[in-house]
Amino acid sequence: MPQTGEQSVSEYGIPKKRFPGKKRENARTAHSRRPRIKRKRTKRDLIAQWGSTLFMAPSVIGVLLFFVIPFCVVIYYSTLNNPIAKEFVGLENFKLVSSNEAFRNAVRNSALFSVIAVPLAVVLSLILAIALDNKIPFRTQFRSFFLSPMMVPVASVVLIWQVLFDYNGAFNELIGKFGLEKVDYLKSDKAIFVVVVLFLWKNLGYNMILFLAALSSVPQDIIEVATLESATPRQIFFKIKLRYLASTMVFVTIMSLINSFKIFREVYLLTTDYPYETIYMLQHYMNNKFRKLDYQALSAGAIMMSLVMIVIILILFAADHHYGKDLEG
Amino acid sequence: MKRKNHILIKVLASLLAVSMLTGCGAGKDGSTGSAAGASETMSAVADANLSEFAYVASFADTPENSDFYSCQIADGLLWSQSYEENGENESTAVLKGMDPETLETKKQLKPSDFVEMPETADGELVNTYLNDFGFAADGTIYAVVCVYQYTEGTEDYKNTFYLVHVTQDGEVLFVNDIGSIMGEDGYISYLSVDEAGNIYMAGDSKIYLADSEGNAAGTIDLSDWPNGMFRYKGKIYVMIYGNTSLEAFPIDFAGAKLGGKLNNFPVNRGTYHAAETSDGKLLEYGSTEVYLNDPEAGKSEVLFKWTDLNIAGDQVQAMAQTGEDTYLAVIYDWNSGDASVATIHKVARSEVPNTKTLTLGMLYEDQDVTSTAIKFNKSQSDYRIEIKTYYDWNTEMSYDEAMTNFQNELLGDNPPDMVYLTNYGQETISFNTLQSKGVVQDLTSYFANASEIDLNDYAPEALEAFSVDGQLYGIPTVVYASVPTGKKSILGDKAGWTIDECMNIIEAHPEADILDYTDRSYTARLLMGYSLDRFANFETGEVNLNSPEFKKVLEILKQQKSEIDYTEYESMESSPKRMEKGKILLMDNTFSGPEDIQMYEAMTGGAAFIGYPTMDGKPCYGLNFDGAAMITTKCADPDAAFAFVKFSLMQEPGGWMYGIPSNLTAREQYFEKFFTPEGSVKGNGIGWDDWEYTYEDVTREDVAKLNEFLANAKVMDPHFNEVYEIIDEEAQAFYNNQKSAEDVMDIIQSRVSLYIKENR
Repeated sequence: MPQTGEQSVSEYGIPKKRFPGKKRENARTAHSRRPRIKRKRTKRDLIAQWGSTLFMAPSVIGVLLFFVIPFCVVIYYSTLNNPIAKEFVGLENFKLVSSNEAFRNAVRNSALFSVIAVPLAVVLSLILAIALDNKIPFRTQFRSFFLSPMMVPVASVVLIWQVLFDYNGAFNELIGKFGLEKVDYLKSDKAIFVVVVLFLWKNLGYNMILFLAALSSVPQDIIEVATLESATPRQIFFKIKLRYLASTMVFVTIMSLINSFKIFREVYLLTTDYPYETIYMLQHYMNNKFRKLDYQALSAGAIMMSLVMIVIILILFAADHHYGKDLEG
Repeated sequence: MKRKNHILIKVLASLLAVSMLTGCGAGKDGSTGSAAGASETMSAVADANLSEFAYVASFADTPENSDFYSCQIADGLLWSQSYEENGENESTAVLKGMDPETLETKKQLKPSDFVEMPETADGELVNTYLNDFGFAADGTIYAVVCVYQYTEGTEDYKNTFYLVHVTQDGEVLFVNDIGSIMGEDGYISYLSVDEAGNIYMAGDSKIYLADSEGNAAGTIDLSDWPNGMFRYKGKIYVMIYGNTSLEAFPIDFAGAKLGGKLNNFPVNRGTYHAAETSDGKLLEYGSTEVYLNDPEAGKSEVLFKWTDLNIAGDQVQAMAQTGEDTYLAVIYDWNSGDASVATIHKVARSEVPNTKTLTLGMLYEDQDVTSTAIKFNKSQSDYRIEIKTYYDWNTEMSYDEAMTNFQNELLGDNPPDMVYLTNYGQETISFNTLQSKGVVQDLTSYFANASEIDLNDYAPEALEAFSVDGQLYGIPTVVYASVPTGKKSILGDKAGWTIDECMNIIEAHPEADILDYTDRSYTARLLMGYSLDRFANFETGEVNLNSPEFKKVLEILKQQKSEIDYTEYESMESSPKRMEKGKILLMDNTFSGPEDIQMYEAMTGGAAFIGYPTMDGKPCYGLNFDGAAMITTKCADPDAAFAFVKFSLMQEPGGWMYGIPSNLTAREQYFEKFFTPEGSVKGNGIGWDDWEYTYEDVTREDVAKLNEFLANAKVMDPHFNEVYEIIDEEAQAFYNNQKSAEDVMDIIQSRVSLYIKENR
């Protein structure tokens, strides 16, 4: 350790001096104070830059045309009184929508559904992935089995669910044989659970595959070292594997969250525009507003939902950054 | 080598980027993939519009009391048939050859002069009709003459058909009785002559063939009634309606059979007439456009739209080519009896005066609106009203698609300047929707400043129909009321009842049908359509669909059929007979005149015009309207548009409109007609197979009653249809005895509550 007043040279050849009262300089801060020498850009650099811009252009234009610009249009529409007069009303539409009882009902139901379904989707798919990562019999067949719901068209999924859970469906027939009364699963408070089961059935396979891929990328040498150091399987999982799965977990959570909103498609086909109140989702509200040409309420609702989604995703990214950063480089 | 690879990669990348961007482009002419036939027509229309030429019409009024039926051009004369009174209650046909420009009669022929008129006994009368006529190559005339002999006041009659061949000066060449060819119930509507002089007579699903001497040469059976004949490329074609439009089939005279369908005919599904032009093409027209069609080459072009020439296409009786790019059209207004002849010729587009165009959008073409627009266009030279319809008859477009197109355009960036609303379609594109979206503009100040329009002279119910919060958006030309009517002996001597009273009477008479033609939706409309607040109140948000009253409604609906099966009614007695016998509780009638009030009094033996049930039992009738022009917010020239709105309100309601004038002065004049000899309905009859009624004179009490219906009429609750859809969906399990009423009501309560919360 150099003493005060002694000079030493950092790895970059910069003399290091320690001054009383001053923060000790480290390599990083020293590097940042190093004068930047601008290297002259060569023709090759310019060609490379133009080339990369050209390659990126179609994607950028597509994203702008189909995502960014429409989103800006939606923001614009949400501040107007109607699409004909186009008078600016500020946040009036947001106030009206947020004070609407049906909208609040929809927010409550959508949030409840996401809170129940998303963690279940992540945890259950992780458990399945861990199970299939081990050398169990019929491993390939199980993998295909869990992936098969992804290939089934939505209309067929709806049909299957109606056959199962309709008032006169297979489930009620079965419980009827045991002397129990029929339950209207889709038109009662139990509807939310039916929808959760539908969501899990459809999405577990995809999440499981992502986790399987992430599990296979965990460095085996670290696990071997841990095993040699007498780490228990539980410790190996929570201290090593889970850390490596952090990014994938964030991704799976985000995808599950997005897919939890897409469940509207199946719910709409099962129950039409105005379902039982416990499965009335945000998209029901927005779809009905679209049908009634109330684009202002639709836009306001969509923006509010987007903002919530953005906040949640930012939190997830922050969590990923915090837990996963020591695994980078 | 590396450098070359870099260049190649970049070139490929550029091509990829450009191809992706060009792939986003629209179709060739902005169309979105409609059928090939339709786009070809559309491009023809576009070409015509961009053409350096246009067609203009000059009109000649016809002499007073002249009729024009079945007109043709031959040897430079306009030939048309009309009728002359021939003693009391007798008429005889007249065929006139007129100068097309001056309409001066040059030649006149009376078929009754050629045929043998029958001896008549006392009370027997004879009318002579000219069913159709045609010209041979030598200019002589072949005609089918019908002598109709009948006894007044009886159903006895006798038709005698003659095939007549005369010169234009009236010299008779032959007269043949063709009754033996046609059979007892045969009829002939059309006659055509080919270049060889062979005669083709069509009617009553048959074609009768005769040679130039009038000798029978065969009969062809048709699949359906013929709708006209025309000559094309030396052959005679008969037109018969196919699945979607007229179809033309050549007639093989020698083989006495039809040939294969003429391809590429017609250009437009609305075409109902065709004639050959001097250059071997077909001149086709319907009520909207006129085309030149070359079926052999598969090419066609639009010559013009009738409305561009200020002609109501549905009033065109005949059209023919009189010279190169020159046509004659005979126009006859069936409502007013006015007739005129239009000479149409082609001019350079620069010669056509420029006028500003205002578009009037409506779902289907309406003859009365078209007529009003034409009158407006003719009355001034600064503006033209152009009607834009959204239902394309040339495609397989559904009603819903047309409504969606209409709605999208109204809410888009380029809506029509005005919109014309009628009663139908209100559930899809209602006034309430348009007003709440700001599509139509407030006309209160316009009406206030219009000296010709006094709002105090309009019925309050008409003003309320299109008013929101004291702002007036339009006034319907006519209104009418729908009034559920039944027997006083069952319903009581009153106007108005509560929902409970209605349901009690229904329960007390389980053997009777609630309405004459009814199913669950109609019954629900009766019970809830005008008193939905009792069960679902949009203002307070209160929903009572799990109440005992609603349970009663469900039980009543359960007894009704899910859908009307009209075939069942074919074997039943008529509605009036069933009402007379008490087998029906109510008939949901619409009243557009006071004369039907006496009919229902007779039918019921004392009528209770009870109306729709309400919460408070006050009289409630359904308000319907026909015809309201409104100005859109994006109208380019609202002042000019209002000039048309004013003009249309000041016209007498058109002949096709169903209802009573909204203007109180016009309404009074309308009612006064019933008290004049010309307008009296006394002696007129109305009948069903097993019930008939002969009208007496209308009374002032009848008029007062009708006014009372209108004064208490209101529009059906705009939310009823959506609420009923939810009720019907959930109630099926109850109707099928799978669930109890209570279970079903809970779900209905939940879903309708959601609907109300969302839409309040």
